[in-house]
Amino acid sequence: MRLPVPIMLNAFVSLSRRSLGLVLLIVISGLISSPRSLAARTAWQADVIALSPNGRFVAASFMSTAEVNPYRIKDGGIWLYDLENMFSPALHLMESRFSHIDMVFSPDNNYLAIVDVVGLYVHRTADGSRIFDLLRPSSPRTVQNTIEFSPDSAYLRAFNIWHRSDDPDRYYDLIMPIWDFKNSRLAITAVTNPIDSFTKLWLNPAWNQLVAYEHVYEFDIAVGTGGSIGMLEEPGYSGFGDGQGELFHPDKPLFATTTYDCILQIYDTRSWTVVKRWAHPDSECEYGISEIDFSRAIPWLAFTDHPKYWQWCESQEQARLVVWDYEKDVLVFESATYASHARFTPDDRFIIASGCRAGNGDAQISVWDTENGFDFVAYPGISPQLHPDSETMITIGYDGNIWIWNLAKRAPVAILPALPA
Amino acid sequence: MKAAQRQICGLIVVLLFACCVSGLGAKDDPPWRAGSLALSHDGRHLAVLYLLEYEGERHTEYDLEIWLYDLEQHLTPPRFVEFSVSGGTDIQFSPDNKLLAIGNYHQLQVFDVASLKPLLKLTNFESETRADFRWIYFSPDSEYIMAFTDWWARDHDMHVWKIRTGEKASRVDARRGQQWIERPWLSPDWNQFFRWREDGDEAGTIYAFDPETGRGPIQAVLDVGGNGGAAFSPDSALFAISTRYGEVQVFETETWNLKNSEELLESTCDEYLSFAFSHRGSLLATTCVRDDRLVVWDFELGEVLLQVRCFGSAPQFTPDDSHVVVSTRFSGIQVWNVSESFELTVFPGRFPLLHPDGELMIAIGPDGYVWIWNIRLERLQLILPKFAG
Repeated sequence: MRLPVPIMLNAFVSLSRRSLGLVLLIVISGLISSPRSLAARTAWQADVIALSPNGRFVAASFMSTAEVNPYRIKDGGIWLYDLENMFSPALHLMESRFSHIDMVFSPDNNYLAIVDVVGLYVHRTADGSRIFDLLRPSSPRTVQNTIEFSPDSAYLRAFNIWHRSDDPDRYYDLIMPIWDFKNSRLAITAVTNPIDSFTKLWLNPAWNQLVAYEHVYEFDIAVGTGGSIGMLEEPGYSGFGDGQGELFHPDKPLFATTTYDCILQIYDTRSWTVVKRWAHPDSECEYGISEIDFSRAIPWLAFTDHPKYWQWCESQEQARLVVWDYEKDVLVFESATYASHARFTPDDRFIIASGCRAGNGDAQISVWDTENGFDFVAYPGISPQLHPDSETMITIGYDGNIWIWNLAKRAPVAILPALPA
Repeated sequence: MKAAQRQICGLIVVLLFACCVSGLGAKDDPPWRAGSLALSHDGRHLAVLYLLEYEGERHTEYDLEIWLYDLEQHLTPPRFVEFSVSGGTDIQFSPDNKLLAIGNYHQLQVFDVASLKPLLKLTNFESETRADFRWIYFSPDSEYIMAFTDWWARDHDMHVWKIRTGEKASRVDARRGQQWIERPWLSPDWNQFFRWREDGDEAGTIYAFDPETGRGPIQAVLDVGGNGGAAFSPDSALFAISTRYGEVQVFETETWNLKNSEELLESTCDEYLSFAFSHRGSLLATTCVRDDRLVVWDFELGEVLLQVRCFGSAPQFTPDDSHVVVSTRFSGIQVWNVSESFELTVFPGRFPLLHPDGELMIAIGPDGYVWIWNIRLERLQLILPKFAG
């Protein structure tokens, strides 16, 4: 004897002919579509990623592949992954409809700052909660998105503002607001004298020196910009475009910059005198030297001489990667490349640069192994983030997901799937 | 009817989702594909058997590799397991999670998980009758390992070895007619053993069991005319079996009294029948490949809670018994939410394994990679690509 069945679900038998036809149509259309066309229908893909200094957190901005209105605004969301507990669900921090965002973690790894075309936001990494937000000043206009935490993670600088000066001797001032974000207040505005609208401001790792184009000032978070302590010789279009043409050494009292006529200079930041100099052999290097990076332990400087960079390689122009031993004043390595943004891993073993693959224009990540004759390996993807273990690299893959690679084994370890808004 | 419509809508959405996410992979389909998975009982280690299919001179051939992932060390590459893999390979972790056993038709090896050093190696001539290591089982104390004899041998025995010494501990006649014995009807605590009757009546006998001495005294005779699957509950307290007429019976294993019975199946399922007891409570899930049904039965209340054609097999309850998971023949994993009126979600992929945290499901995705899902959030959490280091 059969007992009564409270719930009798027989989906396939219960389908009406129309529903069955619809299901079959969906199945068949799915089967005959190629993976490429299916990928085109993929809802989300990573656009910007950032890695915390201790390598524990990854922040990712995912954008919809579909434009949702005539103004080309897309749906998107920013998520926070905990790599030490990858099975805990990622935290959804905020919606984001803009591609042009920047994200930076604080040195103590407790905070994530996000800046987009609307404003500035700070979230706790522990629980994803937002503790600070600020609408972007619309007037006077902002000229630089750079966001940077102070070494003690107490302050945050963002939105350098270029505006009419109160000083009758100069037309413009460049002011750098610094926020005490934990207490939601403006801590200080450092005022400098800009030369032109490309001027950027560079603070040394200890936040006690400030470089603004050719001027070097003392700096103190309590009082702001102090007196002048040096001048740079003929600084070039520093950091033109996406590039980073100036750089403080993370540990040593050194500062590297480039000039208009393609000369790379290293200053001693105690005296602000040039201690090393390297002249580019091509005196007409069109875009100058850029994308420089110091190695930490060995006296090397890596740079590319062509800062043009297209994230998805719509166009290509060949550049050159140079590794210069600035103590011996010799070039350790040179290679033609389509990559830029060269950086050393924390242990100085690998040099990693983003760029394009010659020939077909696909984006790829170029990696040179300095311990093995600068052996070259190309990885698919963009936006490499370097883990402090020096073996792990985190990238955005062709498929829009986040790929985690092991550089020593030259293989992917895991993939974090793109998440929706 | 509304419930049925909901299910149809859910099915359509899931099919769309499956079609979309199948295009998420890298530019080219990976040549290596995961073939089978094994998860340690604490959820920390995952062994993946990968296969690479290629055209040989005469027929399609395969390369096979096994890699061991430490899921608590996500950034650490997996380790390669040195084993001569062939088709029909079984991979099992010991209950104490310290040992990894890999068996195929030719050999069995037990490895120390921490070092991947082999602790035991047996070939299929180690027993009087040839062993077949494609179905292997650890004892609950992780001291013994059991395998069946070769199907081609005249007698079908279960052989038990001591892992640390490699000595044969016992041998039990496990004959079940000419049926291919695929699964042990040993209770999970290894204290009792169900043996099919030899005279063709398809009834069975319950014996006491000890890994050192083998079969003990008769505990009960089940004159039920069984002709299908059988299973003990995870705590060994219950035993389920089906008759040739589709009746499912549940016994208490201490007294071997019949607890309840129900005509759940439309036809005999033979070895195509699978049972799964819930970890707590009184639910029994059955799938029968022949009638394509999934049935969830509350044997305490005598109430059938769900009966549906699902085209699936091998049901599993999540550790918190909140969901029933069924792998279907159409490359989809059905997850039925027990507490939400058996609301259905279908995930793309196959070969689901359930993590002990109750939320994670590890499966082989449509692209051949290992996909790790959070089934509560219905979110793909992580993908493990084939490691080529």
